[in-house]
Amino acid sequence: MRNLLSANFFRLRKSALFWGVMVLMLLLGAGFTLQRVWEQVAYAEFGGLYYIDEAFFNYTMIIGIVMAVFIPLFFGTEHSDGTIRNKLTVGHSRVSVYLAHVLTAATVALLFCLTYILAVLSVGVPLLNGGIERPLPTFLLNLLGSLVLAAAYSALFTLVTLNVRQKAISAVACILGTLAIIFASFYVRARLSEPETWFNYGTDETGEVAMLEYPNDRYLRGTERAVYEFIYDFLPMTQSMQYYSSYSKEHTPQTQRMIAYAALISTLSTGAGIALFRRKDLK
Amino acid sequence: MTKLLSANLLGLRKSHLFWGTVVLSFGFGAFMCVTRFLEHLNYSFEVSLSSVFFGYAMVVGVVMAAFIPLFFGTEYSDGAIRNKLTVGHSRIAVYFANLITSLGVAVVCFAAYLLACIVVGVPLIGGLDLPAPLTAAALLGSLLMTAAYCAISTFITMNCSKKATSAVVCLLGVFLLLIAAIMTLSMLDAPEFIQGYVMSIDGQIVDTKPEPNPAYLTGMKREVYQFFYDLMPTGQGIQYSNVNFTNPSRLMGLAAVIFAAFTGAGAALFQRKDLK
Amino acid sequence: MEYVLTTQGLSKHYKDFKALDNLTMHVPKGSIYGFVGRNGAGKTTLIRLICGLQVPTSGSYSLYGVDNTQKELSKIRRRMGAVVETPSIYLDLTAQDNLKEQFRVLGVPSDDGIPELLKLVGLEATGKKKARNFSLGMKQRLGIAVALAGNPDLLVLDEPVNGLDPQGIIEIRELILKLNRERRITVLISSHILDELSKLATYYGFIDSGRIVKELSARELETACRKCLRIEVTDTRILARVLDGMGVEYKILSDGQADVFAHLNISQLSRALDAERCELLSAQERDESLESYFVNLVGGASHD
Repeated sequence: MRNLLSANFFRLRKSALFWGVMVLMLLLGAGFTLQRVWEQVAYAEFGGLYYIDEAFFNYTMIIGIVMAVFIPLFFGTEHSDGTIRNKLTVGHSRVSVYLAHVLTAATVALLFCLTYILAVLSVGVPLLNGGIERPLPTFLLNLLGSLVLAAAYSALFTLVTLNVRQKAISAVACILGTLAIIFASFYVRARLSEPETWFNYGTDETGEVAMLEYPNDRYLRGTERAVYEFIYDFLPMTQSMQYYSSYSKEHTPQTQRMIAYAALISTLSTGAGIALFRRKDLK
Repeated sequence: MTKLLSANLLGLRKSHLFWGTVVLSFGFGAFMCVTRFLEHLNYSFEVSLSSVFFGYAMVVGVVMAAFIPLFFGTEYSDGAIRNKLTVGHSRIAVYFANLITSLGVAVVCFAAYLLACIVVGVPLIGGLDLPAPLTAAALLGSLLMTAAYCAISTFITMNCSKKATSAVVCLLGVFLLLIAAIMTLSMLDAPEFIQGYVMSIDGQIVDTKPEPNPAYLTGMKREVYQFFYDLMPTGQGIQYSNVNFTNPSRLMGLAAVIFAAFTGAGAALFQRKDLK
Repeated sequence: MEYVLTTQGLSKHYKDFKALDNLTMHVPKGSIYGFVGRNGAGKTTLIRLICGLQVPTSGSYSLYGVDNTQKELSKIRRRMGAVVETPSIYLDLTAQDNLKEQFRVLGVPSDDGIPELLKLVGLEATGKKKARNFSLGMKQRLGIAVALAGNPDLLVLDEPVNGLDPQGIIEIRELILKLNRERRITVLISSHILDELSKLATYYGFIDSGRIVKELSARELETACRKCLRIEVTDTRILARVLDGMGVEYKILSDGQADVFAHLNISQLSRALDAERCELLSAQERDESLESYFVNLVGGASHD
């Protein structure tokens, strides 16, 4: 296992794709923070505080799609170039080959996130006037959660990549899967943010025209709402949205639950992935 | 050229990917109609077929960005492209045969979606309530937009010898264009005036005088944003799928420009490419 | 005899297709075992099974006496190297980096052995060139180098000369012979190019439709292949009469040629022919080739 990991990291060091994405994360981090800085300068007359948080947690929205591209392209080579055979023929078990890949993928995700964060901090700390908005414990909890989330993405995409023989197909599956999750997430969030009631002009009981409150038919109630809320905390992309938005600022229990779900996703997908991979006929 | 086309056609007939895409397109159409119908049942919304009929315009770009690299990228990864060139077909002919085939696939998938709308949608949520010229414009426009998508993905696939890379580039490209279109739309949609409601001291709600919105785009800036929104196939997709467009001939013209530009550049690059 | 690899009733089924059907084989230690069969006979399937890429449907195999169901097998695998079908190399790495990668997979503490390995396969001058831009023969040799990275006692090569030019074929052949002689590596080599195999193999296994039809040593094969004398004369009708008189087995090939399956006294034959006014033009000793032996064994084209 140690040998497999060191082999993976050796190849990572030589990978143009890996370094390309590292640079991209650096640029994105700096770019998003500079955008906040620019706003701070442009709207200086209104005063107001500009916080690091928003640019900071942006990576939770990006890391999913980044890993959906990186993992199939980097690890898909094991199938397409057939190099996975070199590992199995010399006696490494399939479980350790799989686990080494998951661990490498999660480490890569972590490195991408940290690179982004580094860029945000080095631009944001000296230039933004607001500092960190969330209370420090919350901030750290969110940070931890988003990193666990990055690991969950890695586990999911490794499951696909190691069990699909064609690199192109696993790339398409991972990216389309992420897109589908993104759209589902927007839908879930839209449904959850429907107001319970809405206002419109109408005639009241005295016959006068006035602003009246009407119940919103689309407002989710009861079990339906519970299911949507569960999905909202469970899906990786909705988790990203929560870390990104200020929603999780005051919701520590939610965050703890999200971390548990992300850990669950990692464990389940790795378990399922290993079970499939062990039985797979390799060429 | 006819031979190349018939060879591609044979490949399509045997392709699980192709039939899978057609079935998914039909399924997607049915799903959209059923979702609308359920909304009608659960929340007694007024629904009509027009709200879903052109919905495929939103997804056809993604579908083709996945299909074209997977289907035609095989020519590179399996080396089949050599067989066509060595027996004397010109590169231009190979390029155009693939482009036309992909366009045919897109049309078939679009048709499968429309068929689902008619077969599943009409009985559930009724027919189209759009004026005929508007329907015709949306149909023709979506077709041209689809052609533009096919031209872009064919451009990438035929000029990139790694199937996985072209798939990633096509899909990420559409994804980024989609985000760009949504962002442009939200900027264009900013209201010109902000109207606030204020609660007065006696508890009455009073409208304040509308104030100009600083985020509202004006003049040249607005025109540039509108131009890019109309130029991007994803922007066109949003407009067609909502059947909410003001200048269809402009949209069609721009789609034709994209199609011509990517096809011209793609064929020229492919002409000079070193093949293995 | 000590065997490196044995299989007992090994079978592998894909849905209804029996790729391997109750196959039993024995690879002796120190041998170059030629694994002969036409395309689709099951050669690659067998190699995939013994490399642990696929699991047998039934039956078993053992490497160095360790059964495939035993846990220790994964340790034993460390003693083997393989090139299955296409060379397993990272196309976007250089030859050197490919070997470094495999050294890490194997846990070899130092990269010192790499230059020697590259020299052994003749890739020492490839520098920064990525494997993607290698010729087929270079890729094949790099694949062998990767398989050799762990200093294996058993080397499994699947069609190693497929698609190589004559020079490349000779290079691979010499490499295999060198590894076998100097490093005492047992080599299992599958091929359908019989002529090439006959220059290497010390043992043969003939496979057809997923079964071993015959297993024998090169020496046994030699004796099994019948020797014959190809004779050229002016008139084979006279030759036939003379040979009938001598009571030997023969086969007329044309008006002027015949094969004789017996040890003949040439002077005696020449005299006998002379008496009948037939001239003996030439006589050449011939082996029945490995090819015709194989065709006889698996029954010609009847399976195609």
